[in-house]
Amino acid sequence: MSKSEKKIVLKSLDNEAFEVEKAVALQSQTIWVMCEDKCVGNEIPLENVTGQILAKVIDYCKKHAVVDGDGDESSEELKNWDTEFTKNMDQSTLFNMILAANYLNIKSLLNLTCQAVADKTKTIDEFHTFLNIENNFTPEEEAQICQENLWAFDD
Amino acid sequence: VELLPHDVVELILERLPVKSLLRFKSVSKNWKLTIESRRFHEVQLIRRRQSRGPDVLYVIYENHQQDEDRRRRIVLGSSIVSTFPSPNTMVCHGSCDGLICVFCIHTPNIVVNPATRWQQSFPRSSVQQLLYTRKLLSWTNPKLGFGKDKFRGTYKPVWLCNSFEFGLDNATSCEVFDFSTNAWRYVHPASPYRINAFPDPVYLDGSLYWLTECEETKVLSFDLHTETFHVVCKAPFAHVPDPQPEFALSPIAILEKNKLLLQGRDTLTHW
Repeated sequence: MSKSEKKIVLKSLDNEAFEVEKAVALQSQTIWVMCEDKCVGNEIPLENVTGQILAKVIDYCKKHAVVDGDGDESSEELKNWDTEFTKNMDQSTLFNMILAANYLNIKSLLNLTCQAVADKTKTIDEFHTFLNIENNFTPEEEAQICQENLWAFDD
Repeated sequence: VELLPHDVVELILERLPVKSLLRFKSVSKNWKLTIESRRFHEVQLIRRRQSRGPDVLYVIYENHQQDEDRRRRIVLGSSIVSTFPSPNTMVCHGSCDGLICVFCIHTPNIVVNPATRWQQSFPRSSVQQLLYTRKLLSWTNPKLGFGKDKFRGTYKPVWLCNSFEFGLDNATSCEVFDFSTNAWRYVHPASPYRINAFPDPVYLDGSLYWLTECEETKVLSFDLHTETFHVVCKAPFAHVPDPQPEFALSPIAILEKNKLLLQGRDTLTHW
């Protein structure tokens, strides 16, 4: 296999191109299926992911590809890396990472980012903008539910 | 902004602590439905165990001035503190899926979920009523077991007691409470061996365990699905020489990988 065949180009929504090892990109089930079906060339357009987010996703995939590949890094080290990776992301970045992980179908990244949001979330307002919430309770119903679990509302 | 699909929202919700989930029930009908579903409960329990490790259960008795107004303080792990009024004086060994069962012979028994503060009482068994009418209050009273039928996913309180003391037939007598009918029923046949009444019955992986009172102590199991008794094995010690409660062998803890930890006078054994 020539060198160029082992590489793949991922193109973001805002037309930023990233050349990565195939082994790195194939951690995405979505890209894996695309390559299997041979429905794409060496350049894969990802219409739902911005360059800023895609760069982070690729960082994650690179780290995890290396570890899976030669196994010279301990799982402990990898866990610490994962923690550092999400630690300083703001809510907006985290949600975009979740959307990207979901679209690209990278299970471990989806789990990691969902856990990070859950760890940081205290109130609903923090992620209201990312949710399609239609509060279809009547004010009476809502008051009733709150009343039933009154203790859960004081901190 | 692109919105999160509901199955991804569920992935986040199942990683949240119970207190947040109780608050989020008021967000929408869809969320309430998800949070209250059984499948969600099971996944959330597994996730929280993974992220936090096993919980430690402390039960603290807080005595108020009037005996009638006793409040039980239950601390589950370091994250949940729950206080609830309860006249009951005894607590079943350990917890089953985070549920705790408290009992005594004077009042109905109660199952409590300290995390959600949900509780449900259930009536006393025949033996409990018998103990009450005969005013039998002693260390040697049988103790309530509480566990789960893993195949049906239902919880079952179980009374197993030696028959002789109550003038009943056979070596032992066994009653199981059925939450679907809200009634106790007898299990036939009960254990062929008399049981050592001092230690608490212990729940592990779909079965309850007792120690027998025989010359050579045996470990007795009760499968909560088939509702049958089995002698699992001889205990890894010859016999219990001292009938004093403080020296009795008792299953005190459950280790990982189906091991019970047994405590004796000077011994700590697992098998």
